[in-house]
Amino acid sequence: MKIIKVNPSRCTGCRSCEIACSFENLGECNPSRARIHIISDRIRGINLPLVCQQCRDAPCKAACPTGALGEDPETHAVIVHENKCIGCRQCVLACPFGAIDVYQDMGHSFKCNLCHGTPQCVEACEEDALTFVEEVRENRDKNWHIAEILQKIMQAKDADSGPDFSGDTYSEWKKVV
Amino acid sequence: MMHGWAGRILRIDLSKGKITEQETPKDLRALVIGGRGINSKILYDEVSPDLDPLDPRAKLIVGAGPFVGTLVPTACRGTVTHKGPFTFAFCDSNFGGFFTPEMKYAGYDHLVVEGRSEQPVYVWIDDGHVELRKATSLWGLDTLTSFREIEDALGDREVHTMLIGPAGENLVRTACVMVDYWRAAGWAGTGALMGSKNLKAISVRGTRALTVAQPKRFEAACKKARQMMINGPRTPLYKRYGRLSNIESLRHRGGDGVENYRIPDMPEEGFKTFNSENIRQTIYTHREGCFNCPIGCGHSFKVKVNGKHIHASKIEYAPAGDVKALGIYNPEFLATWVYEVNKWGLDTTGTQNVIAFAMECYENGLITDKETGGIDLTFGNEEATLAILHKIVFREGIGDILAEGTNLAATKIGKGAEKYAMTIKGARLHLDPRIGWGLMLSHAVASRGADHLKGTPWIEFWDFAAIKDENLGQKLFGHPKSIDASTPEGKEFTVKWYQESKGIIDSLGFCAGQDSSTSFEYPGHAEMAEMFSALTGHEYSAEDLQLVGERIYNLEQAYNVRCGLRRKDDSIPERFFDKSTPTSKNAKIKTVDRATFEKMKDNYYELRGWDVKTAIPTQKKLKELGLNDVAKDLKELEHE
Repeated sequence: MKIIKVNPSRCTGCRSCEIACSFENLGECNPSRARIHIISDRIRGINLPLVCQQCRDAPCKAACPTGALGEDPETHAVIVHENKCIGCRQCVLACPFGAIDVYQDMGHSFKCNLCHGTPQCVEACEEDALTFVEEVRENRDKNWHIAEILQKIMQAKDADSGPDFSGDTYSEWKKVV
Repeated sequence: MMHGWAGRILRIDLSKGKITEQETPKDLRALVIGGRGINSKILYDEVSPDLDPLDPRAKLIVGAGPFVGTLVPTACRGTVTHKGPFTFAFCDSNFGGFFTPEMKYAGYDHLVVEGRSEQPVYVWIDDGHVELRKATSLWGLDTLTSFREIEDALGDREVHTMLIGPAGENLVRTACVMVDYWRAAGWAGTGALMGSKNLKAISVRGTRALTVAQPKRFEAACKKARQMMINGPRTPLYKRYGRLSNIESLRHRGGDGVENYRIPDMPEEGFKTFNSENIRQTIYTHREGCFNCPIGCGHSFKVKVNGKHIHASKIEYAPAGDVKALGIYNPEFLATWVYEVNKWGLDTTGTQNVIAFAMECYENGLITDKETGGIDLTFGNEEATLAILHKIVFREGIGDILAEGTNLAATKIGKGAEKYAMTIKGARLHLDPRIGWGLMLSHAVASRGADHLKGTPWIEFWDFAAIKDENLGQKLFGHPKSIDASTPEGKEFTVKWYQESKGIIDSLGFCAGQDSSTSFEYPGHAEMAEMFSALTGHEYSAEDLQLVGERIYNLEQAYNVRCGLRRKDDSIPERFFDKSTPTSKNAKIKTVDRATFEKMKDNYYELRGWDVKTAIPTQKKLKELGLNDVAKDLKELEHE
């Protein structure tokens, strides 16, 4: 299964993902109704994209009294069966990420459906803060990143004194862990 | 149904506390599109040229073009327009970020604020609901604290705000408006205007949709433009250095203009530390983008000052140019400078210009220690720079004079101080104009004074070796020498085209840093016309847009003419005509001959269809552009 992987440290906070999402799914430009949102600490400029995690044991699904939330057999995304949804907001209450909404004029809940396999937010993200990857690959980048740092420490090892924990590489390693 | 535009103009009268709305008029949209265009038209129609810029009846106009807030990449640019507090004529300022998209989501294309509130207030726009709220407790707070206080008061961390700091409250004429913490509408001295209205801030939250006439076609056009930007040749540079990469490009052309332009080049020693790579190595932390921008050229920085970490964001070329213009080549001071001017709400270049002016006056004995209060106001002195900056913000001592802006300060100081004022039409210079004839002409004739953003023909600095087309100048602008920086011939064609092109970009709400003025690989008129047609459903060609650009430029010139500006005001500081002023070895122009310069202007006015003697647009030209009411206004001036 493929997931939207978020790397907040790469996010510039441009909200291209929000506008792309609303255009794809609603045919209009309205980031406030996008299914992805960037939460920004504007003083320090830290940006965090928040999007549905497509939980396996989804609280929204469990909370739904009419069984309106199901799974897309192809993408395995949690999706809304609009004809079954009564717009009661129980899913909104249950979701810990704030990733599902109900609007009066739409009449049903709406959430990320991975755009049926080609998420437009990911397409729009020029910084690779959002990538669409196989679950199994999710952590590989992190593995590689830490491995490269550790390898540098190990290479700097002196025959007698052991690994070098004094230099810049070590402080970089400490920053990560 | 209206597509692209949000559809309404919000009018706020602070004297009466009255809030009204009107539809964005159809005829205005057809005439000048939106953004800067409609702003300029409202200014022309509603703000009398006789009015003092800080009079309560003066209006502050905020505008967003039809592109703003839509899928169009970089479509976030807003414009504030008003009569300039230091130019005393047409003045506007363009800014990025998230304020204008939010304004459109709230339902408004333009805000027009007039009058003066008795108590400090701020405007709160929550979708269609608008109210004036007390700002007494915010008055006097620096910009960073004010942003946070307003968000707290409204209970919403996602409101977008433009506000002034103490500089604007104290009517410092170079005060800016800060937008979303780190962005600024700096150019026009808008802070002083808001201060004079007792208006601390405008906050907005919008959740409405902007609709599109032809979604499929629009999406394809936007994706194409986006891809062009991503693949553009300068994009990697902007990503790595932001706009700071201009330090090198200007230096290679001899445009540094150090120490109030008395020295043409930054010294080698200075360049060793003050180059974009070293600045990045020393203080860079991360990158931030404006709304829907695939580039993200806003760089953030961090420095330690007195044991405390200072974070400053969105540092672009202007403050870097300013710091070196003051003779300071320290990357850490750059971040400190940006932090300080932003915190107090000052325009970086305007403030630099007046400080550099004061420094040259001081070094030449026009200002003494007695007047500076013991501050050793010499070039390169970091402490003195910050000390005088604080005096300007709070109008203490000599700061009270300098807060009036370079030209008025020069008049007050007297003793021939005018010769150190590096301004055109009262507005500050930003680079040495002797790097190209086209650039020099565009600076001299620009509608808001010394301006690199109102039609500087950047094409004369392109790398033509790579383009390999000898007839390019002829093909593009109708004159073989039009793109050659080293000759004054044919410059009128390029400058006119670029002025109009910039008018369109600002009116649509596009970013001037990512369009075809930088390189043909970026979106040009054809792409804009396609996006605009698909968005609004009104078919426009590239030529149609160009005509709108010409209309806007004539409108601004007409306003300036009514404010009393004439041909003689279209000039550059005397220093550059003086043969004893040193020239950079890299500059294309070694000496500026006055006759050559005036001839270049003759050609320009002629091509524009303006009277060559006075620079007043002719009746024929105005009528041809459909500006009949403007023609009527200017009729009596024609026989001067």
